[in-house]
Amino acid sequence: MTEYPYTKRNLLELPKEHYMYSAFSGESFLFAYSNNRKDFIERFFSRKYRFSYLFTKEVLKNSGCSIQSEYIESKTTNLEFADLLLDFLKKTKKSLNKELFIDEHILPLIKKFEVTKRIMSIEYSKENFIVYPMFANVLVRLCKNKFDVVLFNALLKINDICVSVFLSGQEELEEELLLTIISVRNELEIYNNFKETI
Amino acid sequence: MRKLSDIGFIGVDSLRSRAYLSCLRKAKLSPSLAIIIENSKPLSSFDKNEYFDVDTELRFYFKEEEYISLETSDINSNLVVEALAKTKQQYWIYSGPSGVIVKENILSLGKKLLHIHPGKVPGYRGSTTIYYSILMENEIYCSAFFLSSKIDAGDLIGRKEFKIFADKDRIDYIYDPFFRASFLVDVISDYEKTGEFFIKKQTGNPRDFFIIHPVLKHLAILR
Repeated sequence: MTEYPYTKRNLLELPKEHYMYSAFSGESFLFAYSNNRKDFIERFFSRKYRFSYLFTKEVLKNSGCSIQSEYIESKTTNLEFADLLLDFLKKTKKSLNKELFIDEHILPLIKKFEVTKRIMSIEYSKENFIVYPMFANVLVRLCKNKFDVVLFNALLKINDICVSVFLSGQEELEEELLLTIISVRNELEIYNNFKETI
Repeated sequence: MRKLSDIGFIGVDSLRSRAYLSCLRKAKLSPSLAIIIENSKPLSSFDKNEYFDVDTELRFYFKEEEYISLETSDINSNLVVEALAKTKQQYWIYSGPSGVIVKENILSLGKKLLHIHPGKVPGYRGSTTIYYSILMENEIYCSAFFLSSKIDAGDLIGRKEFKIFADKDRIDYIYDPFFRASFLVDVISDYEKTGEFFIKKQTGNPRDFFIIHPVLKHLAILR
């Protein structure tokens, strides 16, 4: 049986996953990918989640997702990047010129991620990990507005990282897990829609 | 065999390099000098195919005095700069390691490094564009241009569309190197006939791509 290998180890640990010359395994690979994402959602969906970031509140408001969640308080954060991503999330709705917004703000972040496989230049810690599922949800919002293969490519890779972290046992990162469930659900929806068009 | 007095070959011993030299030899064309960056890892063995010779090592395409082997894995090393600077060849067929950017110390030597890219520039620049192009437009193109400091943005020599074969799972190890080699032969043959490369600036909207995720790669192959 074909397995989906890209979440079997914590991808934030070395070596970084570069996806170069990935092997072709036929249609069964796509089933394995789809099952990997569905299994992840099923495993963690039925819990009740508490969250603190306004970013998460904004994502949940528009997710159409019936996951049980409770807003605890507005967390003041020392993660400037998280505030920036909240601003991006809001701009994905408001920006009149989305292409310019993507070119100026999103593509530089994607380029940095694709080269370094990290979203922030500092190495992974539990405190800053939340920027991964946050950025994934920004990409989800943009791809749902209008499919873009470069953005979706980055989304698949970031969600691989997020899923791999939780499958490696970091389940106590509650809000990060909640955001990942939502971005993975949406990633699958975008994937299925795109697949139908080709 | 027609020896190309103004054209050299610079690169690593890779499947692509073997495809280049094999297809040039079939067309009875041969660069007059080779500068080979020795890989630290030996080349894996590959299945034979009907398009190019995968077995012959690069050194067997050249006479001993036409073959310069450098003990470095870095295309941008001073060894390469020094070797290239001493040569009389103005044009160099480039087949360096994947994903490595040629730096200014090489580009500023005044030599022209000819690269064949598996994508229609400027719309498909960057990595694994052959798959993105199939995925988004169901087409395969190669572009020939001279390397510049910006990735895949150099002066354009030409572009060519290739027929997509049913067995797209052979792209990485057969069709990608073969299409590039085939177009290289066209470009070099034209140069041999006219004595010059007709270049123009790339026009149109540029787009950079990054290594394709396996899910998208599978969708492209299964398309």
